[in-house]
Amino acid sequence: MATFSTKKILYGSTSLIPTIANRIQEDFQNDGYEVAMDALSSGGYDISITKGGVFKAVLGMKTALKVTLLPQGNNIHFEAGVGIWGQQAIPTVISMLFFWPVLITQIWGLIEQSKLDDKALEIAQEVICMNSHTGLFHTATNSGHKFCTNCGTSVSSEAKFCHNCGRPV
Amino acid sequence: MFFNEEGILNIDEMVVNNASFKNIMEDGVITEEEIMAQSDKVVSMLHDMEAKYNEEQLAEIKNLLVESSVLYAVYNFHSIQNIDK
Repeated sequence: MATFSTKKILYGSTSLIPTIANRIQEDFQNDGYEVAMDALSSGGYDISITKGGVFKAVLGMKTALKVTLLPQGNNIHFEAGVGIWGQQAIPTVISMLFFWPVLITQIWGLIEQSKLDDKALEIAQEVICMNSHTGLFHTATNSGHKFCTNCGTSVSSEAKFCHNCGRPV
Repeated sequence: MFFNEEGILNIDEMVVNNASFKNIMEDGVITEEEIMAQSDKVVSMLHDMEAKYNEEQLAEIKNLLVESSVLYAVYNFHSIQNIDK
């Protein structure tokens, strides 16, 4: 169950899911986080991100930021929430703890405060954006047009300057 | 006392270090008798508090118990509401 989470549908090809997962892993590892990644049979990925001193262990199990990327039709379902390191669900023994609702809200508060969920989402959006620009560029050049990399205006594929902002294209 | 250095509630550590929990979990099997005994212990503690504390202190304890129970109940209602969502 993901009571406290950031959910978003990302309008990008599901084929980008492995690339997004790898980028999230790389970026968080570079920031000193421990990252574990599981490829799911659905084509999605389950990513656990944790760091000592940031995420509390509950009943001996390390809590983590869980990022799940799932194919949803032709798009990607992104979800970031509190979970247990290396596990796809919070074990029943923890969720039945009388004060678990307090713990999950506090841990989620720390995640939100440090904007870790936003960071994972931004990485996913960046990968999609980079790939969609490549797609647009190919489409545009095939049709005799390209886009200005500064303001995004469609210009002739032979133009040397953007007619909107004047920058070289 | 209640929170760790990061300000997170330390309740799970209090639970695993609690003598009753250790005793019940020792053989890995939880019996109905053990649950009954633990329940009796909680009720007995509440009776002791009623005798020991003044009205103001009792009101605070009662408030904590009720508010915590409200949170636990609404959290679980919310979980049920979100099944299959």
